[in-house]
Amino acid sequence: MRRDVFQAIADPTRREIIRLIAQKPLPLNSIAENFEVSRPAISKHIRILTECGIVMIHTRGRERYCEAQLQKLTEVSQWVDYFKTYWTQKLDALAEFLEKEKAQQTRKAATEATAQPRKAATPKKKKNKAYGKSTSRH
Amino acid sequence: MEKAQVVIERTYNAPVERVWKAITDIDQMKQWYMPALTSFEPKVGFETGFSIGKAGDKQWPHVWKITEVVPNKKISYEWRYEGFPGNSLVTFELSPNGDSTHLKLSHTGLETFEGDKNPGLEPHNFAEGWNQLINILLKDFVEKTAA
Repeated sequence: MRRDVFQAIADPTRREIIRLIAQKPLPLNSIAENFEVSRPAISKHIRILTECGIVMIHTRGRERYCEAQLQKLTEVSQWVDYFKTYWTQKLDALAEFLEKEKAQQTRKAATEATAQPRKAATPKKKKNKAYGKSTSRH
Repeated sequence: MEKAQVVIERTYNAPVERVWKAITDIDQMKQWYMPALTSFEPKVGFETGFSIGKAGDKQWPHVWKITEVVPNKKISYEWRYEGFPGNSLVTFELSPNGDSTHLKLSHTGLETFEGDKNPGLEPHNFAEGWNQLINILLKDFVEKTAA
């Protein structure tokens, strides 16, 4: 079975294991103490993490230490992280753009609405002209 | 490596036609999205190229090629970098929701790019703690891709 970084981080227990050993290598036993699941289950998760290349195991005396190989994680996250930030900013900018455009159209519509009766040359003409002047000051 | 993608959904207080225009009309796109754009037509097979990068810095020549267009509903284009391995796909999908528009943006195929070279890569992006990276970014990413 093919193992990769995505598989490594797809499971919450494995993410928690990575988080625990991100700062410094820990013995397998003390990692297992942090979880309610059985020690063999943790061993299995760690085996998967080693197969994915995210964890390396060193034997020191009688203890087996798990060390995180975090370079692997940045390789995938860099582009995803970059584009996530990029698109979040762009889609915010789109919202602003649409709001601005809407405001402009509303102003344009208001101007047209006041302009129309003028063409009709009704007695309202003066009143509309006055309204038009007052809006143009803004 | 499996799929690496970004999926973001938003609702805009504007009808689909207006959002469609904002994402496909070059004059509008230049205002909110890609000021460096030199040409754009929402037609399948249309290709455009433009460079992004600070003056004096490395330039990133972008190449977009349109692969799917359904007016007011969906547009997809390839997004790659000239002379650089990999090819990703950007898709905007719109659906009307009363007077507003629901937009789903997906950017897939990011795993095809080389991991260690990145146009947005700046030291501050990666100076943050590993815990934050793993807990927030990757967790969020996985939950989104798993959905």
